[in-house]
Amino acid sequence: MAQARRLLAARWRVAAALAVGILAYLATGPLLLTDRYENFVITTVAIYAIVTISVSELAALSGIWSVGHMSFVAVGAYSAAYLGGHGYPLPVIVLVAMLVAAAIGFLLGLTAGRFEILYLAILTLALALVAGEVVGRWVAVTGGDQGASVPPAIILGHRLTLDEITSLAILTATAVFIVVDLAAQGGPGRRWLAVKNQRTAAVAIGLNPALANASAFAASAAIAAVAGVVLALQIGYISPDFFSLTSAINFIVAAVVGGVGSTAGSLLGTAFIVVLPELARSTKDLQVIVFGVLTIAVLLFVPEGIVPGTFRRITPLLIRRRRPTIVDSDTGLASELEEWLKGRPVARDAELVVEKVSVRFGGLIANQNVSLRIPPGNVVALIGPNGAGKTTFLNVLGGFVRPLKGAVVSFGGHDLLRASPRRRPGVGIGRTFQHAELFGELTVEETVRLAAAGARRPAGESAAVSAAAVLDLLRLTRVAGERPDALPFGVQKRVDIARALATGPSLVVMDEPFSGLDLNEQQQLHELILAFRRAGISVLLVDHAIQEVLSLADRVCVLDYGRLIAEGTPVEIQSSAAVQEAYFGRKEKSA
Amino acid sequence: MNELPAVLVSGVVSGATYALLGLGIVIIFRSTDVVNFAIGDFGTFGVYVAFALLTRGLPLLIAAIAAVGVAGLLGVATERAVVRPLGPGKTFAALVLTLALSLILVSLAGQLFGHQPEPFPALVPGHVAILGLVVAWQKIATAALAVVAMAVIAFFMRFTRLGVAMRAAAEDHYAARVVGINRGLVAAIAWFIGCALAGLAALLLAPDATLTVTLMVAPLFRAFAGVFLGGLESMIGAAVGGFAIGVLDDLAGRYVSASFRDTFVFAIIVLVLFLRPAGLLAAQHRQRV
Amino acid sequence: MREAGESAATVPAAPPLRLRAVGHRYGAGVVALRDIDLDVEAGTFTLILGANGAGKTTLANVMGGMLKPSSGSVEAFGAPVRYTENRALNHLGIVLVPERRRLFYRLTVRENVMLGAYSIKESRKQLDERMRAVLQPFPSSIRDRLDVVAGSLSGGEQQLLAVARALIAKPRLVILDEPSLGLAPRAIEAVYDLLAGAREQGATLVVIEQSGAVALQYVSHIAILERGREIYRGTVGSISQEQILAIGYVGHVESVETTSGEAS
Repeated sequence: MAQARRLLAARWRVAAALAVGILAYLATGPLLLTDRYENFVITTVAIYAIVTISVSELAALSGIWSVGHMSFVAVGAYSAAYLGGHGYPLPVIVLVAMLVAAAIGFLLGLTAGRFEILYLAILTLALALVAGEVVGRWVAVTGGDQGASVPPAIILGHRLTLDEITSLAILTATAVFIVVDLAAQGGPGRRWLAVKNQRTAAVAIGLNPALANASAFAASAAIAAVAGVVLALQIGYISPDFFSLTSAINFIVAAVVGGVGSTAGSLLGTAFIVVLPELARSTKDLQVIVFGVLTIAVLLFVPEGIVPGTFRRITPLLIRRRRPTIVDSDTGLASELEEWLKGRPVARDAELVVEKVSVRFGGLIANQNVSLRIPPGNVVALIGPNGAGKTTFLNVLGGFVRPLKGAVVSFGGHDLLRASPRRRPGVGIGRTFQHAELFGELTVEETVRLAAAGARRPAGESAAVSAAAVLDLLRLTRVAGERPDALPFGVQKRVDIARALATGPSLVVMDEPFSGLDLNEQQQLHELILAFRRAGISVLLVDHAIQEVLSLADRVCVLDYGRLIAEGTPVEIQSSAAVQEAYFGRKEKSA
Repeated sequence: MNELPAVLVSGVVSGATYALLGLGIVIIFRSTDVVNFAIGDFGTFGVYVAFALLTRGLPLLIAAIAAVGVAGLLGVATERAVVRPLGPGKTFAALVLTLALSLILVSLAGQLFGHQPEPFPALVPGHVAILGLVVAWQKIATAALAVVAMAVIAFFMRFTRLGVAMRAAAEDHYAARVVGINRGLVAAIAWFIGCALAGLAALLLAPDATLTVTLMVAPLFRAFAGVFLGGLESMIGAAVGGFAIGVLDDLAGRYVSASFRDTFVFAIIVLVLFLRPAGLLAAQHRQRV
Repeated sequence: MREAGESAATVPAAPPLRLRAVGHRYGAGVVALRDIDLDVEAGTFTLILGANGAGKTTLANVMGGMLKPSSGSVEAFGAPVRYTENRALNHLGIVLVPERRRLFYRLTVRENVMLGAYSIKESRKQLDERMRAVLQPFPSSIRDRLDVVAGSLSGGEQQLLAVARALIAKPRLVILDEPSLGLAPRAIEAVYDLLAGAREQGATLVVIEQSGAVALQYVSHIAILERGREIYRGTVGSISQEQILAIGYVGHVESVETTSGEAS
C-alpha cells in the first residue's frame, strides 16, 4: 500500500519534471515564444537549478551543507574550456569533469562523519576560497584573471549551435532532476537518510556511514560539475568572476529559500537567485540588499523553505490527517514468529564468548574483567543499576569501544574485536535500542526493507518480500507507511525489533527492551523473546530492572561498579546477598 | 639580507587582528551557538562610520571609539532583531542568515559610502628602528592594542560576576538557566563584545589596507583558520590560532608562493582537522548529556 | 477571573508548590506526565519515587520552572508560575538541583557556588561571608578546594557541590532530581545529611529518586510515580518499607504485592 502510494508519487513527480522540461524546450525552441535574452535567463535558471538541487539534496539526504559547490562547477567549466580547446568531444569532457569533481567530493565526504555540520560548512567555504585562488592563478589551464574562451561543443562530430545548447541545458536539467529525485526516493536515498538520522543504528544494520557520506558528496559534486560544463558552453567564455564566494553562497540561499530536499523548491530557489538580480541590474547594491533581506525573511518566517512551507499550510485544507493506525491484534504472533524464524537460513550453533573485558575512561573503570558466554539458543540477562557499566559493555560488543589488551570477544568463531562495527549483522548479531533509535525520515517499511537488504535470505527472496514478512509477523503492516514520529513509543520499539529481525540474526542484543512499555506491551515482548528462544535464536537482555528478566532468562549476570558481582540462574540471583546490596545499599541501614 | 625578522613581525601584527576576530567569533559561538559570518562586516561598517566622522573633522580618538561602539551595537541589534527570533538550535540557518547579513552590510556600506577605496589614517604615525629593523608605530600599536583588548576580555571573563556567568552559560545553557542566568542578557553582551572586537580589528587593519567594503573578507577567512586551529570552543585557542595563522601565512607568502596563500592556509586547516578534529588547543570537551 | 478577597485569604496558607492536573507530552508521541496533583507543604521533605521512564525528570523540570507543562496549572506560593525561556524560578526562592548535577565543570568550585547566588543582589563581601556560612557544614574536601576545577571532583563531591550551589541561593524550596545517581551509599548519606540540615534551617525539600533506600530515613512524605501518573501519596509511615524498596528493585508497582508477599 505504502509502496504503491510512493511509486505513484514518484511517477507524478517524474511526469511533472518532464512537463516543465518540455514546456521550457517548446518555449525556447520550436514555438519561439521567447526572445534571445529570455532564452538566456531560462537557460541560466536550468543550469543553476542543477547546482541547487545537488546542494539541496546533499543537505537533505546526508545532512552535509556544502558552501563550496561552486568549486565543482568551476571544475566542469574549466574542463570544457581546456579539454574543449584541445579538441575533445563533449562526452569525454563531461566524463572527465564528473570524475575529477567526484574524486574531490569523495575525499571531502569521507571527512564528513568526523566533523559537525558547522565545521564541514566552513571547510567547504574554505574550499570555495581556494578554488577562487587556483582559478585566478593557475594561468596555464584557466587563463587566470583574463579568463578563457570556451570552444563550441562537439557531439558525434557535430558542432552545437547556441539554440542547441539552450535545448541541451534544458534537457540536462530535466534529466538531472529526474535521476536525482529517483535516487533520493530510492535505495541510495534511504541509505543516506538512515546514516544521517541514526548513525549507530545504521551501523547496526550493516551500513557504512563514511562510505555513505563520501558517495553522497561525490555524486553531488559530479552533478555540479555537469552544470559547470553546460554553463561554460552557454556563455562561451569563463573567468574567475563566475566562481566568487558570493555565487557559492547563492546556491545555499537558493536551497534554503526554496526548501531543502524539495525538487520544486530547488527550481523556485534558483529562479529567485537568477531572476531577482536580472530585474534590477542597474542598482547592484540595492539588489543585493533586497536579496539579503528576502533571504532573512524566508529564514525567519518560512524556515522550512517556500515550497514545503506552502505545502504544509495547504495540505491540511485538502486532505484530512489520518490518525496514527493501531497495530493489529497479536493473536498467534508468538507461534507464527517461531515457525517463520525456524525456516530462516541462520546459523544456530554460534556462541558468544566474552572474556576479560576491561575498559577505562581516564581514571574511571567502566568495565573490569567482565566475562560471559551466551550458548546458542539461550536467553542471558545482563543487569545492574544505572552507571554500572552496562552501556560500556554494549559498546564493546558493538565495536564502538575498544577494551584493554587481553580481552576476547567472539561470536561463532568470528573475532569481533578485529571486525568493524558494521560487520555485526553479517555474522548474525542484531541489536535493538533503549530509545528505539528509528530512522526519523524513513517509513516503517523502508526501514525494515533497508535492514533486510544486507541480510542472508532464502534463495530468490527479495528484501521487499522478507521485509513484508517481518512486518506481517510483528503485526506492523498497518503502520508500514508511517514515519516513527507518528507512532506511539511502544510501537516504535517493536519496529526496532522488526529492523533487527530483518537482518537475519542468530543473536539479538536488546538494550532495555522493557523500558517505556506499558504492561500489555511488556507481556507481548515477553512472548516474543520466548519465541526467539524456541526458534534457536539467542538473546542478550541488558536491563536495570530485575523482575522482567528473572522469568525470561536462562542465566543472569549482575554488573556493579564495572564488575560482574554475580552470575547464575534467576533463582540463584534472587537470593544473592551481593545483588541485594548493589540495589539497596547497606541492608542493615534500611531494615 | 635576512628578511625573516621583518616577515615574522608583520606576521605577528596581522596575526593580532586575526586573533581579535577569532576571539569575537568564539565568544559569540559559545554563548549563542551561532557562527557569525558577518562579524567582519560589522567591523568594516564601524570603521566607515569612523571615517565619516573624521571627514567631518572629529578627532581620531573619538572616531576610533565610535567605530568599536557602532560595530558592537550593530551586533546587539542583529542578535535581538533577527538571530534570537530564529530560535535555539538552528545552527545552520543562523549561519545562512549571517551570510545574508554580510551581503547586506557590504552593499549597504557601498551604497552609503561608495565603493572607492578610501585612505584611512594610521592611529599612530611614524616609524621606529628596533635592533636595525624599521617598524611602523602603527604596527606596534596594533599588536599592543590587540593584546590589551584580549587582557581586558580575559579579566572580565575571569573576575567579574557577569563574565563568570557568561562562561557558565557557554558551557551549559540548561545549567545556566537553572541558576537564574538570563540567557538573553548573556547573548546581547556576547554579541556586543564579539562585534566590538571585530570593530577594533577593522580599525587596526584599515590604515594598511585602505578602507573598502571588502576590507575584512580575507582577514575573516584567516581568523576562521585560526579558530579551527584552536578549536571553536576555546577562547585562548582562537587567539593563539590567530597569531599562528598570521605568522604562517606571511612565511608562506614570502618563502613558498605569494600566489597561493589561501590554498596554503586551507591546507593547514585540513591537516589540523584530520589530526585533531576539535582543534589543537581544544578545551576539555565534556559531552552534554 | 479570581476575586481579590479570595486570593488575599488564600495567600498566607499557600503551599510552596501546588500542581493541579499537570500533564506533559513531548512532541506527538511520548506522554511523560499525566494528571499530577501535588501539594508540597511548607517545611516538609517529600520523596517522589519512580522507575526509569516514570516521568521523574519531566516532573522535576516542571517543578523547577525549566519546562512548561503542556496541561494543568502550577502555583508557587499561591501565584501561578510564569515559565520563561530565560530563567528558572530562583527569584521565587525555588531552586532545582538537576539530574546529573549539571555543574559548570570547567569553572572552579568557588565560581560554581557563586553562580548559585546569581539572582541575589549583594556585595562581593556579603557573598563571601554567606558562602563561608553556607559551606560550613560541608566536608573539607569542598571547603578547602574552592579554587579547584569542579570537573576534577569525585562524583560524591560534585553532588555536594550541586547542593551547595542550591543552598547559597537562600532557597525556600529545593527540588533535587536523583541526587543519589551513581553514588555509593555513604556518599548518598552525606548528601542527605546536608539536606536534613537545610530543612532544619526552614527550607522545604522535594527529592526525586529511583530508589529510596537511603532517602526513606530522612523524608516526611512520599509519592510514587508510575509511567507519568501518581499512584501513591502519603506520609512516610503509611506504606511498608518493603513495598517502597521493591519499586527500585522491580521497576513497577503492580508486582509489589507478590514480591513483598513472598519476602515476608
